[in-house]
Amino acid sequence: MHKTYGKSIGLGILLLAVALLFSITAQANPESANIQKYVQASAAPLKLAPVNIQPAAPVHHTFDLCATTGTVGMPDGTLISIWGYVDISGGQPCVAGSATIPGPELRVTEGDSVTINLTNKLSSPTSLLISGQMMTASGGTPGLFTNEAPANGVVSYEIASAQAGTYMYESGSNPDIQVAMGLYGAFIVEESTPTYLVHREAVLVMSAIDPNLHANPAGFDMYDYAPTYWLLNGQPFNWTSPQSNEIPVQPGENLLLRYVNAGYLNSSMALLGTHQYVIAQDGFNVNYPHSAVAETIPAGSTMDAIVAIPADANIGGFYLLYNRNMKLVNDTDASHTAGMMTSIKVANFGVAINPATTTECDLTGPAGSQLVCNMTVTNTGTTIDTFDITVATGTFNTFPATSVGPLAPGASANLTMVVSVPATANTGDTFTATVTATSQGNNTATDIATINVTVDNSISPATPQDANSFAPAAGGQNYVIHVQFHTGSRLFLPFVGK
Amino acid sequence: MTLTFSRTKLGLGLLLLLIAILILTLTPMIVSGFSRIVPAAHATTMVCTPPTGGTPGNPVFDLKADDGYISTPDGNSLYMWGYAIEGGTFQMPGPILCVTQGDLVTVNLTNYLSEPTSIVFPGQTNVTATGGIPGFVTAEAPPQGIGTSTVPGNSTVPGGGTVTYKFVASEPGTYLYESGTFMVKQVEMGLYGALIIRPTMGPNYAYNDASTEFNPNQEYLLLLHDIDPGLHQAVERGEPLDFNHRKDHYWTINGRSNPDTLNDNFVPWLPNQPYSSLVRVEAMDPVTAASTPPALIRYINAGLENHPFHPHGNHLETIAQDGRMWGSASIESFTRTIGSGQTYDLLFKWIDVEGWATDPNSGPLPVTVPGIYDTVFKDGVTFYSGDPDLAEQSDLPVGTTSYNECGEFYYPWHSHALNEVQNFDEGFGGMLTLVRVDPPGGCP
Repeated sequence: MHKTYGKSIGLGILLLAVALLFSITAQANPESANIQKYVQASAAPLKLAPVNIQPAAPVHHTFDLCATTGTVGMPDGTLISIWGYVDISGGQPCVAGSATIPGPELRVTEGDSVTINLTNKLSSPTSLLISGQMMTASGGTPGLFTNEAPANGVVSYEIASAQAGTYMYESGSNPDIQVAMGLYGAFIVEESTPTYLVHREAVLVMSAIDPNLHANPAGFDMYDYAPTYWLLNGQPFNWTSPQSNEIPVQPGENLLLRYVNAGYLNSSMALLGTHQYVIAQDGFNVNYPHSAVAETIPAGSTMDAIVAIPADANIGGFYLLYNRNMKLVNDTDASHTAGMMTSIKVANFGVAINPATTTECDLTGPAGSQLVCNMTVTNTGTTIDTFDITVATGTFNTFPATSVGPLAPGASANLTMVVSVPATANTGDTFTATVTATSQGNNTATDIATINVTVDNSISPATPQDANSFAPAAGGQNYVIHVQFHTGSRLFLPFVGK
Repeated sequence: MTLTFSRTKLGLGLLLLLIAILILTLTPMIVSGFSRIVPAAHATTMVCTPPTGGTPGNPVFDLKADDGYISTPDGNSLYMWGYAIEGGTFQMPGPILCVTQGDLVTVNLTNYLSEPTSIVFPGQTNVTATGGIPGFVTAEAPPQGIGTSTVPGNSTVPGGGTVTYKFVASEPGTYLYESGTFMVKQVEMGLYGALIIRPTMGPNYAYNDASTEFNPNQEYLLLLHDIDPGLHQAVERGEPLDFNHRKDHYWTINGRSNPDTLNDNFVPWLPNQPYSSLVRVEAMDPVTAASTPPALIRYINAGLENHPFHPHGNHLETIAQDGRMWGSASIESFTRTIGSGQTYDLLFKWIDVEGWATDPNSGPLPVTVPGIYDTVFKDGVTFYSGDPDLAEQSDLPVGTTSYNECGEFYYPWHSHALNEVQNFDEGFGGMLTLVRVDPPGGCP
């Protein structure tokens, strides 16, 4: 999600060279001034050693998708039955009702080979197309556009070498109904050598819902298709929770917008407050990038645009990104702006992680015990964020290493950390566990808390364990067993091992 | 009868004299960089609205949001919301705000509508809003007499009803301004207008680039909009609104539908629709054409639909989009789909390759102009001058009578979504205007 390329001196030289180039072409484009190209196609006299980008060797990716049913909730509470894709990689079962719109984002790197196995749990044949990629199909049954997976069947698609850019995958079987029902998603192929400096990106899958189709796909006459919900990434703008789908970005960053129009209308997407710099269409970098307030993304097409956030942009400010064809209402609600809209929010990211009380995480316990420390993780940034929790490894196993969130700005969540004191620890031993919370929005926004453990000779483990199922980790250790006798009970304590 | 005739002749003579004086007065306008005499502005060129206050470099526009009616050529009358000068007449579209790059622009908006409203300036950066009440996109002007809340019965707050927007016009170009409040309704209702930022290089340049020089007397704005009259009626009557099933029946350029688009600016019979959209150029001498500044056409689509838009008879060079130059990507083309919310700047030249210049009487269309009292309209199509593509030189077809001042020709310029070239199912009409090509040197 978060990508920064280029920290070398070579970059600085290249940027200078590019600046010279820009001055030659004399394009007065204030918003694009900071959007430097890494490789200038005609930059023969400026041949520099490639910047610090070493294209990785091609990798093979296998995606196991399942087409099945699902349900999505609209902000007004309406539940919409959909058909969609669900990721079943790793042998996960395909659970009916678990599909999402859009389908899972599939992301690879230019030149990678890709296998997509599609399992069909819908009642009619389905298939998968990616316009713009060379694909071969195997298995399944022949269909109009490509091989199809019959109901409960499987079909496979191969891409030998993925073409860089932003693409859509979608059903190629009865697409008028199946795509409208939700069988679409984004297929992202990152460039092996980035053309533009991008700090952050957002994939924007555009689509629409006509509830009448979704209520009765078999009996619906597409002649009457008239959507009333207008979606970005499967949800319309929720005016009661405007921050829920905002795109956070920091001052001075270049935000790449990857538009994927999975809907049926050519849609003009407008940005209020600055320009967007259109760099690619349908996966190909355009020869003449240009600045635009509004640009139309045709149905079935994709477009890449960079929004250069000024370095002096105000934290908390936002740039409204909206469908200028004014698909800006949710169903029958004719009094609130909603629909196909989001905002690019100028934010900073921050996190604080602390023991719940000052003494909470100064722990004392005997060898072999598990000690508990309650912490709080607070979002100190200005946008919704999720935080990864990592623990410095040491001899005292400390867990869990997980993530906390998403948290709204200012919100806190509890985090319970457990330290396992090795049975071999000696009384008087000390140990410090370092717990780091890292913002997923900006991996330089971190905070650290410590857990201090002192081993004593108390005989009571902090976390008693059920002796009936207790399994010593290793031999040669001593354990204290407390046996509580109830009235009338009989002692039955089979011990295996020491 | 005779007396009346004489008076008319006398009046006509005086008028011609007056026109001759005017032409003599205005024609010696020399455009910098060109030795040619630039013809006078016509009555259909873009008309900037002067600031209502401020100082040079700090223009102030006092605007209001109000309701009113526009008339359509089929005799209908449409309820609209629009921007106008505070204290002035309701107009559609809003005033054309022309400022210069670097100006600190102040727009005060007073709200006479029944709900909060606002203005946003797409393409402008760092727009500040003061006063009014908070809105989702920007500060809004509350309805008069309501104060800080739209809940009926709340107390009136002094000064309520007005909000002030300020921005530095940092980059030249053609821009839209429009409502930022419940846009699907308020932009549909007509709350939009044009903002023109002239470059520091001078008012006869579109951008700060020598290649964008144009003839300032041939600067035309074509500002598109589309109207679902059912929604407008529902708003007027306070009935439920269904935006997902909107269906347009009227399409306008500069607030008018064809054939009203062809009338001059400020004709008295369209009191709320002041702006013409007739593009009028002159054929250029092929020898000097390369050094003669072209006309500048500014497209804006304020409508909710994308409109494929083109003139007949010639190409244009698109030089900019949304206020940003295309530079080396500028391109000659014919039809341009103007996406909803987009603006384009185009240079337009008509070069007299047929040799009209050398002998006006044997030019491509040797027309003997009939006396105005002798014109007979053969049918409804009166703008056909005989030979639309100039490939052949011949007399007008027998039976065709054309009211044609000086052998000029006219070509359609319209949305090629042809369902939009009608007024509620009656065609021609709608999003259609003409380009008028005068002989070299202008119409005598």
